[in-house]
Amino acid sequence: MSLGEETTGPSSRRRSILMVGLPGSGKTTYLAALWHAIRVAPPGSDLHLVRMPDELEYLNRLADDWIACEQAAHSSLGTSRRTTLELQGPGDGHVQLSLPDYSGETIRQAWTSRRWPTSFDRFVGGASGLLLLVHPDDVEPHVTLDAVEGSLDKIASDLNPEQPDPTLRPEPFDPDRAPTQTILVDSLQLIRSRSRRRRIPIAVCVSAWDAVGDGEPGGWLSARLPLLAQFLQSNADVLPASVFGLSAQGTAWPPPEGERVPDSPEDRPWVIAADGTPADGIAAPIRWILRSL
Amino acid sequence: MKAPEAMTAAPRRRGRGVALDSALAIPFGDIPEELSGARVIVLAGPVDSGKTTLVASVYELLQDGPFGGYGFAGSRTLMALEERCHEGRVASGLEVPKTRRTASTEVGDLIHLSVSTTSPGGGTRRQILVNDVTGERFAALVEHPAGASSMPVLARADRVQVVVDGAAVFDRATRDRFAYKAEVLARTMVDHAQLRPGTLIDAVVTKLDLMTKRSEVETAEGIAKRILDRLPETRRGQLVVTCARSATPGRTATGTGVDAALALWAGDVAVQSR
Repeated sequence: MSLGEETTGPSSRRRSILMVGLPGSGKTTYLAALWHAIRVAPPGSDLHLVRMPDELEYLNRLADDWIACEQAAHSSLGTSRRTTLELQGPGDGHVQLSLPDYSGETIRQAWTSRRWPTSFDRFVGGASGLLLLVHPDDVEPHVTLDAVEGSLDKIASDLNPEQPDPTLRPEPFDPDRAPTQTILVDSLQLIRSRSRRRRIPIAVCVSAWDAVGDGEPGGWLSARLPLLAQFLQSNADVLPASVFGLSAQGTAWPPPEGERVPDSPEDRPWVIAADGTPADGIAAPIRWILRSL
Repeated sequence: MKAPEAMTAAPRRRGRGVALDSALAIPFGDIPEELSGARVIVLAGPVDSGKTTLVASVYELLQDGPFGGYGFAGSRTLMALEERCHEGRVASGLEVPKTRRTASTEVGDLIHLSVSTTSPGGGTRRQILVNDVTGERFAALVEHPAGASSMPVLARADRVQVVVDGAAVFDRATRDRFAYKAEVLARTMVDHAQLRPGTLIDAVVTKLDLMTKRSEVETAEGIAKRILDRLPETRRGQLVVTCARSATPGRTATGTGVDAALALWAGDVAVQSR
């Protein structure tokens, strides 16, 4: 038995995948699209539902919103809706896949308050893999004064001949305004430190990729979140990672006027791999994690 | 190869939830076991000579991508690094970048950086702990050199980098007084600090961007060379000229020479690139 698996029967393995991201990163929408894809996957495909879950209230609510292309209600802090799906995994028998939908505030507040909920900590301890979601429109950069000064030097001196005021008092340091990549690296370090596993595969999913347009998700990560990209590359032996670009709705949100939305909901979502080539459906990041364990 | 920055301390359970690592600077007496083999770098110099800016600069440059042949591999002190970078960022509301002064209560605190080599087939992680002791503490050592023997961080140092403030070169009297104190400080390290065999002392010139004339750079380098020349050969390290944050990016790029300082921190041979 490899690390990250527990047997629940002669041919069933329990996997838990932790889905993390800052608020608005697309976790709940991804879960809705994933549930739909797994539900309709035909028997014989490499990630299909073996048995309908005992409880469906939360998934039904997500499905309602997702099918109607409406924004799913964000999870609130300290609450999670654990979704456990009994699946036929890629080539290794039954898989019990547990995917709690924790609020993005859990990660943001862990950065500032240096605490997270006990239930979250328990899940972190045993998680087999991570889905890290990032929204491309919600990346807080680090902007240094000398970088701005360098690029705007001439414009500034033309428009405002006054010298900068060296006596200006700085705004107090506010950790909430830290760069997105710093907070994400911190969360991965905390997860790694609280995990009981030596090796945790991470599928980095850039959500709303339809809004990014051209390019490759791997290149996007290196360009927009270089600290995170370096961190993952430097720790590939213990945190192997793969980057995906995904569109859980298949279109911008709300769909632009006149844009044709596929009739069938399962035809809407799409995923591309790190190099920009099409991946195998919305469940591709989950498959990658399961294969990487 | 070591795992990245794993915490070994049991979680503190106070209030709601599980308490996590603080991400603040690490007190010297609390170096976690997994960082016990980290390289310790002590930056020694007067107030406002550019010690903290040098540390902040390495982190800011890594925020933009691999730097000087190194990639960012983690830090247990991310909050401390963010705080030290704050006054150089637009978010501070300032118009001119500054660096937050190291508080007197932070004597002995360490900033952690893990970097990995980015060369093909590389990827070896290096753990670095940088001590940005307050300038006041080093000013006190110039008056009372024997005090160096009671600074345990010096006994653990792999390199001590005496900072030569590039802003001190413009006025002769200031320059000569500065050079005198820097030489005394370097020699204090040799004679009074409990340095381990093999610990080297470097001379790091800061604020290259402020020096507009070649002669000014040569003057600063001259001070640094004299510091090194007057050290016993067994303690003599390297001379590095840096611009950690450029006020004149058109003339001197931010990061100039910082790559060489980082290579020394990481334990590699520094190659000054200017």
